[in-house]
Amino acid sequence: MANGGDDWQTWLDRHGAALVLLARQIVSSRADAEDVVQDAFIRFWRSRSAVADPVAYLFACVKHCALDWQRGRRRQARREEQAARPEAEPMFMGALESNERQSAIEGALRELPGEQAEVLILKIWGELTFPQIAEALDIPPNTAASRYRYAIAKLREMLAEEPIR
Amino acid sequence: MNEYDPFEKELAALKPLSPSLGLNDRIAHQLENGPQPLVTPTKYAARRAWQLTLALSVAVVMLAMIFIRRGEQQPIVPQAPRSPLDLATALDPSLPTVWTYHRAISGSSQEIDALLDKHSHTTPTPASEFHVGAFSMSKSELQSF
Repeated sequence: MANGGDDWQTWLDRHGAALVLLARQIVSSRADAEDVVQDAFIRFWRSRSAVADPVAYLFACVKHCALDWQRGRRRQARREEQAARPEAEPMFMGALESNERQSAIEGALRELPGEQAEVLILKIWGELTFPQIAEALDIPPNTAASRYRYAIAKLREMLAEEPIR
Repeated sequence: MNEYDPFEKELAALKPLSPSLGLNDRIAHQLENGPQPLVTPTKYAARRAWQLTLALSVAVVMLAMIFIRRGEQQPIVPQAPRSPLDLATALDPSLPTVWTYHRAISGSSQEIDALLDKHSHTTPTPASEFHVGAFSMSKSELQSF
């Protein structure tokens, strides 16, 4: 896994999209997810030299910050979250209206259990290895691998009626 | 990526939305101007331990002050001064005191008899009434009893 140098901008360009996608699995909106990534990235950047695997640590920071954020805002924002309907915000590039398949995948991804979705995101879009995923999520590598397989199987099942283009 | 099957490749082909330029600017601003380094886990633990120690110390000091103040507030009950008369009375051989009888017991049996005779005459008990334990009985009642 290439880290892309020791420049924060390179790190953010390289991993930013996957970090926001991971945060969005936990917090309600894209704006909140970006706030989480901001806090997590600052924390990561100032303490990255102390960790063995900075990439895994970066994703771990995002997950922990997102959980903290969610806990802190849960009470006051619960009703706002329900009203905001964050599922309307797209996750991927491209117009959903013109791509039903992409829309179906986004919908299926939202339906996945959180622990499977986060492994899938780290593997597919974060391009982490299973040992890195295990370190980022603090789970055994075998668990990471099995959650990934379950996620893929479930997505296949949910999208079974959708044609693969 | 090479070991992906077609479905996984299809997923990987989807590109997550990039962070906004605003996020980029905020991070740049915070990294360049943020004077406060974040607390590392070790420092955080040390700070927590220090705070805990401080809180415990304050609690101990407050408890000690409460106990000290309570001790100060307790009214000092003045002890009744011992009358020298008490001691004189206790050691008076003419009175039926414990000390008198104790001394008589350590002597001869005649001495006890003499003491009993003496005190039976000197004790100001009404002739018609004897006090036995907690009950009050007349002489005639006591004899019939």
